[in-house]
Amino acid sequence: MSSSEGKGKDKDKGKNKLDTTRRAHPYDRADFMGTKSARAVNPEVIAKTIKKMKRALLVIGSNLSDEELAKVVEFAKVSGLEVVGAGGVAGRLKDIPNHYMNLHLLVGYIIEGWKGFDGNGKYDALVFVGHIYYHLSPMLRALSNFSSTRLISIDRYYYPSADMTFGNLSDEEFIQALDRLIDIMREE
Amino acid sequence: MEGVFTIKGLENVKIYIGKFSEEEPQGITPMPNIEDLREWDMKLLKRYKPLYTPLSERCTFCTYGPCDLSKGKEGACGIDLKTQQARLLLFTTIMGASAHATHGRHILEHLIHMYGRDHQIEVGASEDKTPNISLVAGIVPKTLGDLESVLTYVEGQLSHLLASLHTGQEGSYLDFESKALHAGMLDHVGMEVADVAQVSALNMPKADENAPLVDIGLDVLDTSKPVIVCIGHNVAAAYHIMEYMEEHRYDIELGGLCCTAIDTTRVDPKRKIVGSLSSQLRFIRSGVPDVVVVDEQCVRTDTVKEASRLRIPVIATSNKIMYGLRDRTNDAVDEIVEDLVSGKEKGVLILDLEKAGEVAVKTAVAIHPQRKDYRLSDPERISELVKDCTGCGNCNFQCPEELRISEAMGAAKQGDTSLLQKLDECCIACGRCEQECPKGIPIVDVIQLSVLPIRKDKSKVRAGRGQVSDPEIREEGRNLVLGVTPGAVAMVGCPNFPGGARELYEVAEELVKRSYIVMVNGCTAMEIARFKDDEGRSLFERYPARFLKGNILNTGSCVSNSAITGAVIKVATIFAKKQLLGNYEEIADYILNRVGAVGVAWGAYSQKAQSIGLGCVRLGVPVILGPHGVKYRRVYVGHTYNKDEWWVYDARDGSKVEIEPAPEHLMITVDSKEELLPMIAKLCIRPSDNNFGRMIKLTNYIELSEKYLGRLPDDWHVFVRTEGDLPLAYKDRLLKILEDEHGWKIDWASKKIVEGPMRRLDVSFQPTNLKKEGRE
Ligand code: SF4
Ligand code: SF4
Ligand code: SF4
Repeated sequence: MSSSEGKGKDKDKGKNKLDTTRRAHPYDRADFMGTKSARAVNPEVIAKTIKKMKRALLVIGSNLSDEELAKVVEFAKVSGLEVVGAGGVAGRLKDIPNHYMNLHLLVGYIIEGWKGFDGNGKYDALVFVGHIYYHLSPMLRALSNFSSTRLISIDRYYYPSADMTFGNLSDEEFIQALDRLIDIMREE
Repeated sequence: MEGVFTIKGLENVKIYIGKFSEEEPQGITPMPNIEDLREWDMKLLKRYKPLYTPLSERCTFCTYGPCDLSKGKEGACGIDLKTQQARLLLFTTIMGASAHATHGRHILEHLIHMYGRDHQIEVGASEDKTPNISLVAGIVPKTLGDLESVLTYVEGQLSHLLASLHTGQEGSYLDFESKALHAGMLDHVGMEVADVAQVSALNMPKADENAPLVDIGLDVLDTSKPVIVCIGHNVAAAYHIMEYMEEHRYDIELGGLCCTAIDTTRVDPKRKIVGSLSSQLRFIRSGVPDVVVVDEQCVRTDTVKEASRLRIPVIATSNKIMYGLRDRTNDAVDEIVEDLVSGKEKGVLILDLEKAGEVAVKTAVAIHPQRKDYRLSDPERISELVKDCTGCGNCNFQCPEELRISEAMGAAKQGDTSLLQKLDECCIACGRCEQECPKGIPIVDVIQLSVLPIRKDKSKVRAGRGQVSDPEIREEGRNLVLGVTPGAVAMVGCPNFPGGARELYEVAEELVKRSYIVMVNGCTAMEIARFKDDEGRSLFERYPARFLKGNILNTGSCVSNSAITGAVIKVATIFAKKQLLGNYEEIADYILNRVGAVGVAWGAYSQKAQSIGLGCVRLGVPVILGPHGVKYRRVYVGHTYNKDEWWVYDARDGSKVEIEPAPEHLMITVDSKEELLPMIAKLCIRPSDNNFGRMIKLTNYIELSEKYLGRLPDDWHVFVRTEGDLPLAYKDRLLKILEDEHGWKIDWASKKIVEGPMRRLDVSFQPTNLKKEGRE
């Protein structure tokens, strides 16, 4: 399980410059686009949005190589986001403070207006990375319809029901996008 | 005419017209209508809240639509997104339940035709031979004929449920949920009819812990002989093939795919299982079968197209699957065989199963010598097949398992087939990738060719043993209720696994080693049987098959899921001596609060798996799904932060008692094996556990969390009522954590908990959600 090359027509476009807005279709082509679907954006836009959030939660999934997970952990450190390992990945999260919570349960809690791990209030944004596409996509559709939380994906897939997402990225582009996010979050 | 009727104005009075051998339906809710168990459902749904994950935000059920139901909008009929999701769920649950009920109807009628209405029901050493039927319908059927009225009841209920889906009927998501739970309950009745009928009449193992070990795998058939493969779930047609072969001494290989395969080996252990659902396309494309016989459920709808490419004649034997084929039921056998062997007909429909058996055998023998060139056998062809791959990635965007096909193709172009071989472990052979390949590459064949030189898919699975007997329940029921046996885990369902079947095998192995009772059937039994230890033995060869801790039981095919719920019901009736007949709510309440049983449907894909799961949920058995399960669109999660939901009555005096969240969920998905194992351990915890039982369950929960999630669970302490609940091996460490992190008071001299737990252990506590019982 995991991501795609998905080069094709886009093969030569933007070889040197990272453009994460391309291939903005559901990773599983047959998945629903929704009556309104997400804007595919570049890391700059996502970083800017995350910086504006007061109480965002980074929701990490299991679908990450060790190298990718290391980048995600780095991103968590520089962004200072609260972290939850939402699935088996929890056993691989070593260097940062983190919680474990089942993804389905987390989604249910958010929809019911849960006040967070510390009880201090609702999260204003959820930032997703490292999930199985088909597992997260319907969960995002649930959140987008039944909650007002901002839904941001920094995953390798285009998620139609997020508010903000990358397009479908190759492995290389995914690492570059994470690097870019880390760089921008570092710049204060 | 037989069945249940009500008279206008007297809706609460039911009139039963049926020929039951001894008694009229009995109990509090015999043959319940939709509304009769609604109160129980609402109790469950209040604590375990339905959580919807829509696949689409539109409704397209009527011509007012399509309607956009997103972000709080209502459709033209007034329905909202949640309610529409619940409506869809009821729809798919009815599909599942009716597939089993009509399967039951078909095989029952056929067996009555063969053996007569008075043929006795005989399923092994049990008084309660039909626990699901007796619990729901309130009767004790004795003969095959007695089962007919049960199906009449189920069919009637299913059509009422179907009617409530029409536009402008039900408008509450909770009532749609209650109806779906009703359909799920009916499903277990329909399955039990099918299973007890076939076990009784076809001499299948009857609650037999020594059921034979049988061959399984893509490579178990002797391909030098003519090969017939039966695909589907209803063993009736395969039975007549076997009968004809035996009678006329034909030396033919009969293999099966999916549950028909399991049931052929229950009839005759010499028969062989090729594999589960995910082996269907692989095996047809292998070119090995000389004849394909299909019956019903989960059979690929393009079977005739696929088979005919390789000149494999198809015989359809059920009115559920007719494929547009010519009905040859009344034609002469030799004429039909000639038309199939000559290729004049790609396939035929034969509804006379004895004739279908004869045609299948004669066709296989006649066509076998002509078909040798159609076998997929030459791995050298890979380079030719992949040479045009452009690396476009279209295939990746189609693959439901998110496999990296294009990368594997790229490597194969360079002569490295190792990535293709890895794909084979996870590929469900659905063929979606091929549909979008601009170069028309037969990707499924390429993957299969890559493993041909190394594949040795031959193993052993235990033939389905059928129900759990009364003596087994007497021996183990107490341990299960007190928690001394950490849980009974039913690992069932289809092979839509995230990342292959090996992980499921590893989960089963871990559980059985940890003394859980592991119950399997259907595709799950077949898939875990394929993996072996260092000495080449499958789990079924290594562990016995009694309903006892540390055992692994294959109950049989999909319809034998009723043997699993049956066993759980019998724990309540035999161990706790609860009334069985028509006493659904009390038994379900007992199971929810006291029987540590959990269902795991790791690769569930079908509507049947959905209805089976809901039948478990209504009965108080939590169900864990793999990540694909999110596409069923709804789970039932408990919210532990909401303390108001977690209480029960104590049946001794009717007082309300706050309890730990046990079981915490009634349905949930997990994303990986690592998350699955601790979740299983946790959902086996019940309020009734005694302290020794709780200690064992907590030990498993803590150890599995530490092993797979790298941490103590956040919530382990909420399950601690007394120091006796603490795992012995870590007692000091855990007492320290309770003191330091949770502020509990510990008397270190005696190592006792002085203050902290939400409730203390009370050995005679009788938890119940039913106020009625509480008042008594
Ligand atoms: S056949 Fe296999 S590789 Fe192709 S889409 Fe299906 S699961 Fe993926
Ligand atoms: S779709 Fe066909 S051509 Fe494109 S990468 Fe896949 S196999 Fe190659
Ligand atoms: S969703 Fe299921 S039923 Fe529908 S086309 Fe796909 S496999 Fe067939």
